[in-house]
Amino acid sequence: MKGSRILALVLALIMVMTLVPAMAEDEPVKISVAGYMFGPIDNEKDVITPLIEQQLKEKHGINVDIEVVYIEQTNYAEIINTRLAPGKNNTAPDVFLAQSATALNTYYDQGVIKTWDEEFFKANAPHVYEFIMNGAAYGDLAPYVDQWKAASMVNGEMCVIPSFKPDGSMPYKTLIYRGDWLEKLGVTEENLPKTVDDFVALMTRFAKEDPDNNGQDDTYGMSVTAMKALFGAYGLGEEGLAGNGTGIFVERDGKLVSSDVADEAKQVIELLAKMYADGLIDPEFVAGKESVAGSYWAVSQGFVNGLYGVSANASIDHYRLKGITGPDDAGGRCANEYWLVNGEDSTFVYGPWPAGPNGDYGWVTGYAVAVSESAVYNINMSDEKLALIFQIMDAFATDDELYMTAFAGIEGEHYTKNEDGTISRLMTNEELNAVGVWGCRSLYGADRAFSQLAYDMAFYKDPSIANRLNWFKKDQYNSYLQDAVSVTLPSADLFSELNLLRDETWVAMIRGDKKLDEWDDYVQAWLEAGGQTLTDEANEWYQSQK
Amino acid sequence: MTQKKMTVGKAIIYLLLTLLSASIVLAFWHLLNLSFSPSYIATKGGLLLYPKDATIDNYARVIGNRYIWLGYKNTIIRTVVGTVLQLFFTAMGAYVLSKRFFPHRTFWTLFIVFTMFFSGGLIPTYLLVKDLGLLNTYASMILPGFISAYNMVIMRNYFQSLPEEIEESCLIDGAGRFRIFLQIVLPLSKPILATVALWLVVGHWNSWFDVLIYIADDTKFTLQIVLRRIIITGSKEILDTSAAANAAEMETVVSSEGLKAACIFVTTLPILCAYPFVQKFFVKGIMIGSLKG
Amino acid sequence: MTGLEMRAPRRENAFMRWLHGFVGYKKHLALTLMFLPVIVYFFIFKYIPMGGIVIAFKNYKIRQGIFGSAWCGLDNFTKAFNTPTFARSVRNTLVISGLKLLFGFPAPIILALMLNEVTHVRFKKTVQTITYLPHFLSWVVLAGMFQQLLSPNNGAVNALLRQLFGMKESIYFLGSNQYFRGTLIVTDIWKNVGWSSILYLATISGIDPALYEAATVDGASRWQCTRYITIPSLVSTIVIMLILSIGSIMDAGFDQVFNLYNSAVYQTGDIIDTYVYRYGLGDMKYSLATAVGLFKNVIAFVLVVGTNLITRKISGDGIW
Repeated sequence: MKGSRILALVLALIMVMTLVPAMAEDEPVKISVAGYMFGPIDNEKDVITPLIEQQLKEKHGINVDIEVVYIEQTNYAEIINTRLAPGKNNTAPDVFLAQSATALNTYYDQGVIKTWDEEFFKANAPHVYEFIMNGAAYGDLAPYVDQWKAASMVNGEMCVIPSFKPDGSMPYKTLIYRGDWLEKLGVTEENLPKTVDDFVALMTRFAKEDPDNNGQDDTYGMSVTAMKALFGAYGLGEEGLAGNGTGIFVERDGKLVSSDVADEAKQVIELLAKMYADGLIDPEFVAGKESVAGSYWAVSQGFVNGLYGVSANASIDHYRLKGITGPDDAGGRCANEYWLVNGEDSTFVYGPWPAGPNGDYGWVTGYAVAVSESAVYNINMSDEKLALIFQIMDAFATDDELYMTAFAGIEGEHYTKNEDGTISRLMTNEELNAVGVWGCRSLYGADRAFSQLAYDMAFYKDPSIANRLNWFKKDQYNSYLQDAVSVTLPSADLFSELNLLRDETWVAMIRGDKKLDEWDDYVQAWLEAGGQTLTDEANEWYQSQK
Repeated sequence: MTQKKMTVGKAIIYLLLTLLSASIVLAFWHLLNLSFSPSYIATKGGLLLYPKDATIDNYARVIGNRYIWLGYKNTIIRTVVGTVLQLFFTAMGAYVLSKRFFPHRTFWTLFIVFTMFFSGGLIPTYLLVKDLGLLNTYASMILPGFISAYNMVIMRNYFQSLPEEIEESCLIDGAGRFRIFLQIVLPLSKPILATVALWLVVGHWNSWFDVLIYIADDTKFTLQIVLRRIIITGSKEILDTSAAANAAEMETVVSSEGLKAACIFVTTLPILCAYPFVQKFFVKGIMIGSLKG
Repeated sequence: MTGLEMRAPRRENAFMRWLHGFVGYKKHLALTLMFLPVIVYFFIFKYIPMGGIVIAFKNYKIRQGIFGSAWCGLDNFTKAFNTPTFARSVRNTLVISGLKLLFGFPAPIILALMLNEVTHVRFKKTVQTITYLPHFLSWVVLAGMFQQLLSPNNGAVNALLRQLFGMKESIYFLGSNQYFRGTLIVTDIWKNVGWSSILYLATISGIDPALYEAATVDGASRWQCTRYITIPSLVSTIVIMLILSIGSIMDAGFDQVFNLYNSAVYQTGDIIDTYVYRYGLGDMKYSLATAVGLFKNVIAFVLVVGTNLITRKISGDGIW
């Protein structure tokens, strides 16, 4: 007892002694940050981080020593979770990402991240607070303010800075058809299917009428990603089958029901089973020739290489035509892959979403306010340090020069400004990361700073976005957004088991290994395995919002 | 004699071995061709019998990475140091356990075998490594798996098959156990030492997860980590429109399958080249024949 | 005389013998000193972290630490056993590794014996070197390759089957529950047979050539030499390997399955390790993952102890 008291005293003394000179010489506060990066930072080439430190010190009086930590994206959670394991004395970076709502829930539950209240937020990051609460840029965010507040909290405590992803801010997936196949079959852009029936008819022609002209029966209509168009046509949002994602809760008669077990889902599966039996769907749709492991995720290998006629694996920006963003624009990444395989003069066509019996159409996406890939703060830091980090976030929101340095680097060296205020980068993502661009990304809070400039830059003035928005003014091309549940459900961990059950059952039903008569058994099993709990939780939240 | 029957039997053996080898050679040949091919070739499917639209982009990307040579250095350090030390201590322990008169031998064997089945898992091991101050050191790549119970049991088994008589005659001559172990037992055990050494080398060469967990200092990253990065950074990007909108990124569309294949050849080539030198230890009659003959 | 009286002295004997053993450490001081580093190593790096197993019985929270977290008895176990996919993953694990044991275990022995019969040195060395190669490829890489080669659409294997055997329908090796396990076994053998044969070849290379010479002089055929000289000298290695294999029967090969399976074959392919993976580090459900791991390892350990007992009774050989 006595010994431990002396020990504590000694420890306290040591702490004081280490702190005193720090204050005397005004040592910079060390902050380590691990955000989303395309590659490791090269300490010898890193010019951006010192520049940011300098600007923070000179213009904002914030004296920090920022250490950018690179963590591989594929094992991000494993590495962070291991480094967090020692608890209070953990070795994880000060600022890191909660990769999903479930991860956020877990971090909160495990007590490894800092929490704060609205007062603290307002005091240390007043501009960000204003920006968000006022609905910010163009008032576009106004409808989402309440959602943002809800999403920033777990169990009533603020612990994350979510990002806004309002309609039009993210390039959602787009239906892309093969131009050469359409030409062979005599389908013009105006005649592209606008209803489910027409869509299925076109799939049949893709599969049966030898659209690639090689005299062999080696083509299919579609694979897994285009199935989402059918779910959308029935008003459902489904991330299953391909991505092992979670079904989105949709409103039916004033209540939320998961797309995984909605009545319409049965109709979609029935339709898919029929299409499969008719040979319109690639039997390998489960193993995926769309997002092939190890290759760029947005490239549907089956589509690009002439196995399917349609795919919805990529955004319109991935299939951006040449010269859209400027005279040097080489086009989107998938577009390039497509041209490389099919020839420079080959074409692809953006398609409208087919509408279902109730006139629904599109790709039902996630939520307008997202916590995934948002910054959280290590429990092992002091409140003073957290305050400092919030002050840095505020600096990024108010100081455009600082933001541009972190976001794009040095003008002339890393980027050039276009006439319309947009920028063109002069290096690859990995090279930019090596010199320090994006290294401080998580210090903004979300994946981009809460400032007018950031919103202008990234959302509305970006040429590829502007181009997309114009395109999507056409009827039935735009996806629509579902804002059903924007909080992390307390039992979100049950989803992994449910997703497994759903994928397995649906795949078996589509392939005819399981009869559709067993649908009710499946729903029953789904509810019992935790689906009921989650549905109740979602509805409870939904009612509380009314 | 049964000359004719023998040849039929032999013919079947030769045929089976040839088929097995052929399937492997074809697979590797396919991979080699893939490593010289652009991305879209891989999805066409089928067997690649020659490179189509050959390119050296994949190799250029692998070899051009600034970390690759550093990775080579670190991998060689951990492999050499790790293998030598591990082999020595494993053999020493195995030698002691091979002695039937060693007290509580069964208990000690169980003590070691038990660890093959029960472990605290990743987190407690991480905490230990951290508390010992080994994070970010080469030791953290070697110590957590320093002695494998599996290798020790295999070695002990081999030592038990060695004739006891030689050791006894040496004991009479006044040599200590440690000297006997060094000067008599180890030289007699070249085949098993070579086998286990090969296992250890390959293990060190290919391991990456421990580096991922224990090492944060990128000057200590090993080859496998660097190669994983090359493959992974080329494959996963989030939807960041502003980032994707740059022209420079579009210059080359690198083949991921091809890149993987190129990585395989760059990483495994040294180990494949080293293999024949180890193989010579397996030649027949190294020990018992020369003793009894 | 009662049984008790009969047994008492014997037990005392065993105890005395155990006690007497400690004298042995001094008697064989050199050996004791040589063994000391091994004991210290295992104690520090293997036994100390084993304390972490207690979290299987706790509701582990990082912030509270291993000792601070609340006990929850067998809750983690019942929670695991109650998920519908758990029992299936146990069954799949046993079937897959059982099949691997049945076919995969003898394969390298047969390969080693066949190689031993090859008299053409260069051919032998070539085959050896080639068959080791697949071991160097990770399953991530091999999975990509097999998915291509085994594809029902344009895979080389299906093309070959169609041409050679006139098969009409393509087989979806990796996507049908009928073929998935078979595919796992065959690809596993293909990858590891050469590498696993190294140990047997090393043992064979230790056999006294004089034995073969004497046998040949006596008129033994090659088969008889194999049957009466080679195989018997491999027995102790085979026994050890068999015991170790049975100990790993709860490991059906995570890397392989994880990289090859998909939702169409969960029915036959989802194993304990993939189950644990879903809950483990990624989800931070440390307690649940540890509980399942413990369940798995206890079974494996019991199996090894059992096999060891049986083999020792039969052949006199065992790990301990």
